[in-house]
Amino acid sequence: MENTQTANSLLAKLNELIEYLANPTRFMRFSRKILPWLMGASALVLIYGFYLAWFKAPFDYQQGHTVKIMFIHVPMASLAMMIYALIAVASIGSLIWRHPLADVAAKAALPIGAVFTFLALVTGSLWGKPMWGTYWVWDARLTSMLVLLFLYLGLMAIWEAIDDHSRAGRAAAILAVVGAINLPIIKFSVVWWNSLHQPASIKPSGITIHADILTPLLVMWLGFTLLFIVLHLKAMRAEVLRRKVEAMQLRRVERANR
Amino acid sequence: MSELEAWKHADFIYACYLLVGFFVTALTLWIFHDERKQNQLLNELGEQNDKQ
Repeated sequence: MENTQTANSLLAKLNELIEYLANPTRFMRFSRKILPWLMGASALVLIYGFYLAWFKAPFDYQQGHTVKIMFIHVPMASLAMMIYALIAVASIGSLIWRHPLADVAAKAALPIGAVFTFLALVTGSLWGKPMWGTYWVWDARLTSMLVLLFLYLGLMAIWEAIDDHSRAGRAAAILAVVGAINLPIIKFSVVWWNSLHQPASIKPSGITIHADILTPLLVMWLGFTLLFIVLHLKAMRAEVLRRKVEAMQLRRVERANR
Repeated sequence: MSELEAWKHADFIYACYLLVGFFVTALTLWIFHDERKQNQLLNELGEQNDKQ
């Protein structure tokens, strides 16, 4: 009962914040204030994470120090999925509630999500060669991650191909929402099909990683998550400014034509 | 497993960290540069409007 009340009050607070930030001017003011703090926190956590990963984490009894690849592969892969989930939610916000910053948030997250997905695939592949004996297999987890990369690239192509923001936003939002079906496929691919990829090690039923390996992993995950928030806010600010510049240029052309 | 054996695939580990370092730095610089460029453009347009 208490948990439900806490969850409801948290959701109400989040809703208030989203409504407050619906005004681009207010968003610019708010993001300018919090960005230096977030940048500092992200740098500190990432430096501490790298220190733990390189100098403190022991080697795995089977993988040796190759386990260090996991400290970057796992945060990249989980963030790649979380960023897509954020894009899908923002796209719903844009399609249904026409939130003025929803399509800005969705568009700004695309290159970051694409780079993280690409890095998850490459680091996984570089881990796979010494551990599995191959860089790539057409396995359900790997293939669905590759599909995620193509979804990111497809959405970026839509934004580039259509000049009108509202039309591009609508087309990208529809594809993003439809593409969200890929997220449960990625998540449960290791359960539904026979896969070379190992199942999740952090589950509600328990954690199967030793604390010495889990701690650097979680610190790196937090560092990359903070970095994503910084990059996303910066990219959103750039997009808001770009639209202002375009609107001003358009007004100048209209005035000149009069 | 000895410490020496544990580092058997060191080249793969270094390759991963270098790749992530390179791409994440490039992405960060690109996004920061883009924001600064748009800000500059906006200021220039604002100044031109003021003059007119």
